[in-house]
Amino acid sequence: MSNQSVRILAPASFHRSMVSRRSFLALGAGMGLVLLGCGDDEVAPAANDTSGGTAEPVKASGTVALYTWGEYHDPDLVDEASDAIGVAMIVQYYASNEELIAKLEATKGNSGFDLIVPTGPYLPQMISKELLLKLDKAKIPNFGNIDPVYLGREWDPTNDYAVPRDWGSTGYIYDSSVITRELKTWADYFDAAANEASGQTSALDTSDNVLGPYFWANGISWNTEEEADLDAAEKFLVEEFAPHIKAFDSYPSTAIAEGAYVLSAAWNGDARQAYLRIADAGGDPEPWKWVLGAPKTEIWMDHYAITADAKNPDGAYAWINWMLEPEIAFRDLSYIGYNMTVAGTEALATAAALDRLDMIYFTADQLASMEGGIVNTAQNRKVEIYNNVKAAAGA
Amino acid sequence: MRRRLRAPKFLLAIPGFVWYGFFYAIPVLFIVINSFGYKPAVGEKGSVRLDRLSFDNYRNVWTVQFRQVFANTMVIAGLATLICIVVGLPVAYFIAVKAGNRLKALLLVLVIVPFWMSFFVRTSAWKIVFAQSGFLNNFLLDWSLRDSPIDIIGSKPAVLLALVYNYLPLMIFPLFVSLDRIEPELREASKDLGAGRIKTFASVTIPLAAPGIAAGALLTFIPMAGDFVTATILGGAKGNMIGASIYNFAVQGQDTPKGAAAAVVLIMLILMVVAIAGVIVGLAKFGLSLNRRVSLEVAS
Repeated sequence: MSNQSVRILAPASFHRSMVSRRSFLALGAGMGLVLLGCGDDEVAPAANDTSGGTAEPVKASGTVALYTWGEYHDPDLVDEASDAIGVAMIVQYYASNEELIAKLEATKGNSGFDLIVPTGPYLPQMISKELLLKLDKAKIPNFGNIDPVYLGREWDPTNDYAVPRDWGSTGYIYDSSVITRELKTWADYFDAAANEASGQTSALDTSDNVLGPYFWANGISWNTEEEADLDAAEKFLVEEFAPHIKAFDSYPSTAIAEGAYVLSAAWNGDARQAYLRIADAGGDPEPWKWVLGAPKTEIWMDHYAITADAKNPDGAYAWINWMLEPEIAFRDLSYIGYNMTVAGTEALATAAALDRLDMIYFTADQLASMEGGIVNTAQNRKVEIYNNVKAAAGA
Repeated sequence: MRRRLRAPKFLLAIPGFVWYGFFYAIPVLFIVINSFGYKPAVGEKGSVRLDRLSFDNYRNVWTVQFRQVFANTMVIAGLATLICIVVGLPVAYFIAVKAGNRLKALLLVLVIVPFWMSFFVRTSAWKIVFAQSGFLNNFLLDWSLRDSPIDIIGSKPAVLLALVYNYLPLMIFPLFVSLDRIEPELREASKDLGAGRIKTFASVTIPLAAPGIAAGALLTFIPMAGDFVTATILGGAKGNMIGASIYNFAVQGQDTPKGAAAAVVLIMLILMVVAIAGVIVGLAKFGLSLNRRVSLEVAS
């Protein structure tokens, strides 16, 4: 598909999704996110030069070590990178932002990773720890392809360090042949875990996502710094939830296909991948039901960033730039199942009638129920609770 | 008589000392030092601050939950060590005593073969075998041996089994070496003096193989107690071991000093367990020799 057809599709998509974008904006404001004045020409003038013709991808050479979340990139694109942009990709995975930062910090400038995909609220500390390279946007001519609504967030107001890539939310999936009642909320998740799914439940393996569901179920902000809230969360999770947990698994899709869980908390794109995995394994995905967390749940946005000690920053730029081509972003989206920040990808996804679009794109009501995370003074306490829940689950 | 200039014998040990000094002692020393520091504030550079030293990390680590995980770990590692002895001893005995020379060489190579594969891959392979829709469960269901699949992954037995599998060669080799060194004449003498097979095995072979058993137990117990990979891959929430907790403190919690303190506690506790085991074995040996001396006196 050429850029031409993308250009034709883009305005339609933007118009149709205005409602959800607005709510996203409103939500962003609620989170204390700041939007800069934006517009393609201001952000990346270079982008305009490519309009009308097929953009020649930025080329580089050598290898790029991409350190990222599991199941987060279309493996075909990873393979094709050497032909398309001249860079061979080496991909390694982390399970949480904390792990990412700890690894970069512990190696003191010798991590060996060029390119990472951190989540917004974790960017400020990575910037002040000098773990990230200040971006030279001239090397990312496709930067202008990003829908401006995703730029200028509070964690990196001028996007000097991070290129927004995609965003998503959290919910859970369950096997309705085992849990026959309808589950709708986080409270239902905990209830099913303690009953039908006891010993067959997986939780996400990050401190935020172990604690989040408790707060969301109880109408408390998951960014609370109140000691009483945290104590109550610990008491509930250690005593009422931990005994029923089978595993802390951030990417449960493969294990679900192997029949390991009947109830799994999951990020929306990973939950969507579970359906594909089950079918691949010869199973029947139909009994599995997806529930976006309610009454509240999270919203997160991940970014490409280049490490301060990158051995091949040009290769990393080339990858980022390539990923910002609408057609490539759409292919990546088709695999991972998350909202891409590149303008026009939603229209492409709708036109291609991707499976389970409702797991990728959210309604205005759903968007209004999502809250972004903040790294605050409760961080250490949250990690302590997370460790205690893990210990209690193994007792 | 010609005199040759001879270098002192300890020169031979220098490469070993240097290696251990640089790659073992110094890193461990840093871990010990870090364990007294504290975690910098969010966004500050570095992973440890050392300008104020305290025992806080040790206090924070020594919680009910940590002690519980530690107890679980010791039980799993202890049981796995016992199973390694029980499973490894007959194998080592067969290779050392019963097998001919060519078979001996073949069997020893076969014992090492699993080590040719990465530890991680070896452990992950069990997931394929044990998955609910995996090889073992399909077999059991197809042959109507069970109505529903067994749920093995994510349990203590899964971790126990994989630990035994991963570390068994480390038990078999020292056992083999010590059994191989026992002169066949000793067993013959025992039989000539009227002892049966079992009596010979129990009072000649086993006592002489004791150093091998002790070496094997140390070689398996210590790394198993600190094993992180096996528990992480197969343990799920229930098979949590202390190595995974330390990883959580240091990595997921971004708290290097706390992880360091937990690691130091683990090292100390393992040393204690090994020392206690050593004392018990020593006492048992002493008791045995006392017993034997008495019986010899009676006999004479």
